[in-house]
Amino acid sequence: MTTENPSLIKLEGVTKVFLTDEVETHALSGIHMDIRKGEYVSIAGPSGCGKSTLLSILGLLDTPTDGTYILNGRPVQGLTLPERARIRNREIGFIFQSFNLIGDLTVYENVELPLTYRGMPASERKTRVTEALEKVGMGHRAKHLPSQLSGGQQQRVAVARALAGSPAVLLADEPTGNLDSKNGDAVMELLHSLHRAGSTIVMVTHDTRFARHAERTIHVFDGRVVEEQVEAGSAH
Amino acid sequence: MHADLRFALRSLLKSPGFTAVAVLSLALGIGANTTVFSLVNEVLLKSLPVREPGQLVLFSWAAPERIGPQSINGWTQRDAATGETICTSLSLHTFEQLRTSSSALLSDVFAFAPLDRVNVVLDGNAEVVTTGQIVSGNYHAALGVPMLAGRSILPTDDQPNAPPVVVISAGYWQRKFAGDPAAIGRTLAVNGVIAEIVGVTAPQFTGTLQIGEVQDLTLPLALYSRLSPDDTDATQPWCWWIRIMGRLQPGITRAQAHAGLAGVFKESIKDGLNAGEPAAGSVTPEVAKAANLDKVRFVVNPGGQGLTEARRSYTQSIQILTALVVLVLLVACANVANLLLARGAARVREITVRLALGASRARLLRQLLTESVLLAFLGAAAGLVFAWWGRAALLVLQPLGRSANMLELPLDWRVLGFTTAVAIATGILFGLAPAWRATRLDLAAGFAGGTRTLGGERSRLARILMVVQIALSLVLLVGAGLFTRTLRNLQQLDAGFNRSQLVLFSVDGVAGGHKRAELAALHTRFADRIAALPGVSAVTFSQVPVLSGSSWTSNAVVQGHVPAKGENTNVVMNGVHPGFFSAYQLPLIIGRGFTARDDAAAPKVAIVNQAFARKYFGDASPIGRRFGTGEDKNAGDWEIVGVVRDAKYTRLREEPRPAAFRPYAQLQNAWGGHFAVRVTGDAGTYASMLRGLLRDIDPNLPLANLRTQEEQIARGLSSERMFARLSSFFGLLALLLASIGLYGLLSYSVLRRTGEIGLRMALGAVPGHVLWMIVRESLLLASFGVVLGLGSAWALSRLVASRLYGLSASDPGTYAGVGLILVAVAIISSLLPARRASRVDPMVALRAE
Repeated sequence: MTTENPSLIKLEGVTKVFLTDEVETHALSGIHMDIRKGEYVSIAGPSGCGKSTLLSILGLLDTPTDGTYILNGRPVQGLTLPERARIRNREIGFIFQSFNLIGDLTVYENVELPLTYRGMPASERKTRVTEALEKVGMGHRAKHLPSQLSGGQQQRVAVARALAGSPAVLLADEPTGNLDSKNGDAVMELLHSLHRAGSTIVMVTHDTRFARHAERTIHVFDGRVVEEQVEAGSAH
Repeated sequence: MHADLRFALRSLLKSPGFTAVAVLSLALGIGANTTVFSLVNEVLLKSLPVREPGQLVLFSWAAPERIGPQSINGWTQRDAATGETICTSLSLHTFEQLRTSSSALLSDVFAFAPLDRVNVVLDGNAEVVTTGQIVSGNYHAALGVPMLAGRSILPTDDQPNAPPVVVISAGYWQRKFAGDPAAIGRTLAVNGVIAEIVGVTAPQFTGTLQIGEVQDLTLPLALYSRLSPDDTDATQPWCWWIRIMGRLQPGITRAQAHAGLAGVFKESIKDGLNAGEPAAGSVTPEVAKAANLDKVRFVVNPGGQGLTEARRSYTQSIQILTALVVLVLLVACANVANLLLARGAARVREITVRLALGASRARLLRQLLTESVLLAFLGAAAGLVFAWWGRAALLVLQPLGRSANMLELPLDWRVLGFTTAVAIATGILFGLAPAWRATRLDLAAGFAGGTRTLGGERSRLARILMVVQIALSLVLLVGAGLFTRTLRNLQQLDAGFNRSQLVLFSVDGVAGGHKRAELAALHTRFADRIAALPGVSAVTFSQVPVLSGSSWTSNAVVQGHVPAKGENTNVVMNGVHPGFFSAYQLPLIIGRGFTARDDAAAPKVAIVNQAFARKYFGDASPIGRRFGTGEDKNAGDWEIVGVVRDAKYTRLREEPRPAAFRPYAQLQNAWGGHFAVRVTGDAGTYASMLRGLLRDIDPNLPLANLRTQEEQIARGLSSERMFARLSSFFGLLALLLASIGLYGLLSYSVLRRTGEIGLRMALGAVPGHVLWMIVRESLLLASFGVVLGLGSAWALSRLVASRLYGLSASDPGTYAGVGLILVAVAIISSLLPARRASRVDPMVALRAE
């Protein structure tokens, strides 16, 4: 840890309890986590271990039952819905397992979508979208609809959408889960190159092969962090 | 098929909400159509309930305008195609000629005519019966009229010295005798003639006169001279008033009857024609009449419906009503089709499985169509219930402008057949496209999992249907706006006189046994007695009631005025009591009003209105100028002594037109006794007082048609009121259906797009963004619908332009108002789905992983 690499995400004692039909389910129990700017972290664990719940809390899609979450130096519990939406829009880029592109928007419009919610002028949006699409090698498909693209290409567009807003962190939820190995490798390579270019990435995966691409792997089991692995040569 | 039906029923029961909304939508649409069809059936389709109505023929004639007899009593209509006048009134002479010369072609020829004025005294109680007719002795037998009791009128009753007899209707028998068989053999005093009741016609037979007219009393033609002793012109060849029908001999066609009788007809009318247009040059009236003979066409029409002039005159009203309800049905069909599309999309999995299991597309189409037709039949069944209520409501609105009890709208086999046909047609109409779409599935994609794009498939067909619904609703609402504003414009119109606090009633002195020459004195006596009643501030009477739809017009000949060729010299006439202008508060502009000294012995005088004065005298004073009516030699008959303000005399819609008033006491042919009493306080409280007073003066002279002037004007607006109310009702119904449809479409869209909305929120959309996204979708659909609807309404409203008043068919205020209403409804309909969308948890974007 150095002063040039401050903490971007800090979780302290985060718990998440779901109440259904008077049954308490502890999805997360006392998670402590510190992710610094420029880090590439993977969160690994078997199905149902709580990693997606953790990701949704990190992405401000959900709120912890207890504990503290500080994003970019700012505590985020107690924020209003519009404030959370604003932070999601500006600080976080999402990459989903099944891409989640909107079917009746073109590639360009899909990538542009988060920028429109930011109220960004059209000319700036155009620059950003074009840059993001070029970065993932999809500039030539800007006018296509998602249905005209392969799965790998759709995921690249989803990555471009996450990148376009220059977020503080990219949250990727099983980004290769719906891809064949060749396309999966390509997407992982893309994330790797983004990391090399300075992006902070938090990736949830249950595939240890892909988890190893990250500098640091946090293993979650039954809602707890059970192990952390740091790849050799990482800055952490 | 049985299995399809069972599955369809089970499937509909499984979705009670969908089924209820769909059945209700269809029930409203089919119910409205069934109601209006029952009117179409009654007015345009139904035949007389007599033996072989297809064999009956009705004789009439057609001629260029102004060519015909000197006097016509009956309907004349203008044929829009040829410009000819068409009429069914003929002379007694023609009847006799046709009767004696037609036996090879017709098994019977019979005649009938309404009795305009009938006073009846039964057990000492006098009443006015306006529904009597006289008929030739073979009328009942030739028609084959079913009798409920007693016997029909026979040829032996139709002899000059035969004892007077009368046949009564089933309705009259029930009302006056409570259906007592002992009524046969009792006597009625009809216009002073004591006639024995010999029979009662079956309830389904209401006569051969115009639709809606139920003839309570039927008397032999031979009695006419005793029933209407003042009508001495009835036997003249130039007085055409009797209607003639015949029954074709077996194997004879109408064309053959026409060919065989045209000569007889022509011969019979040659002494009855006028000279037509003023003869030019040296052409004598005799030569002109002979030339006119060739211009009168003999027409043999089907007679299975009796007289059809009224039926024809209602055609446009019925067409408009039909258009209104067809639009409502289309909105309902579009609504249900949209519901079925959504349902089909929700059943993709089920249909995919069926296809995978080997069902053919045709087989699935059949199953889905069975469901939609079943829905339509359920809608039709509920629609019949609505139609049952709707008939009663329609009758209250007086669709034909007559009192409701004269028209019945039974739901007979033809109406039920219509409803069944509509149910099948609508079931296929709204079911085919959704069924076609639902079965057009890609099996491989249907079972594929994995990657997804968000947003659901937004059906273009569903959106088109929605736009169409909005457009149709707008058309109906524009109609409602135009008709409602027309009604309001007419209701608020300045009639030119004070129409409030006026009680009106009529007496018929001639039918009560008085001579025409006595009427002025008789009516004046009534007026004097009424004036003495407490609360009465003025009283008057006139030959023609004001704003009743009745009119008396004549061609004016004015001294010093030479009419241009083709100039309309028609003026509205009335004969009035001296108190007329003060009672109506019709201001006198210059000159004097009438006084009691303007009697039969005094110099003949007249008062004209401003339009008359302007037309004939320009800026010069009309006082002292003279005019008359008819031929030029009459131009000096009456001296103008005053000018009154222009007013509406016959109908509210009329433009100011020349009118002339003459003292009632100076009329040579006075017969009308239409009183107007200006009162203070509640006009309704004077009814019994006036009845009592008249009974005291003359117990044989019943008071008829008691109403206020406002009520009389309202009666004259019954058609406008009906269109305003029905179009508003149907417009609001369509709007309700469209808003339900829009709500359903958007709700379904939000449901299908939950993932997309969650994603948008995950990407930073705030609830306001999502809210606006859904409202905007609704506004977009509404905008397309409004644009399409405005164009359609603009085109269709030309067809009803003649029924509007005080605004144009493209009235911008109405169009803008209706457009705004639809936009507002689109926003309101979208608010709930939009609110639901704005509350989507962004977690759904992950949850579906």
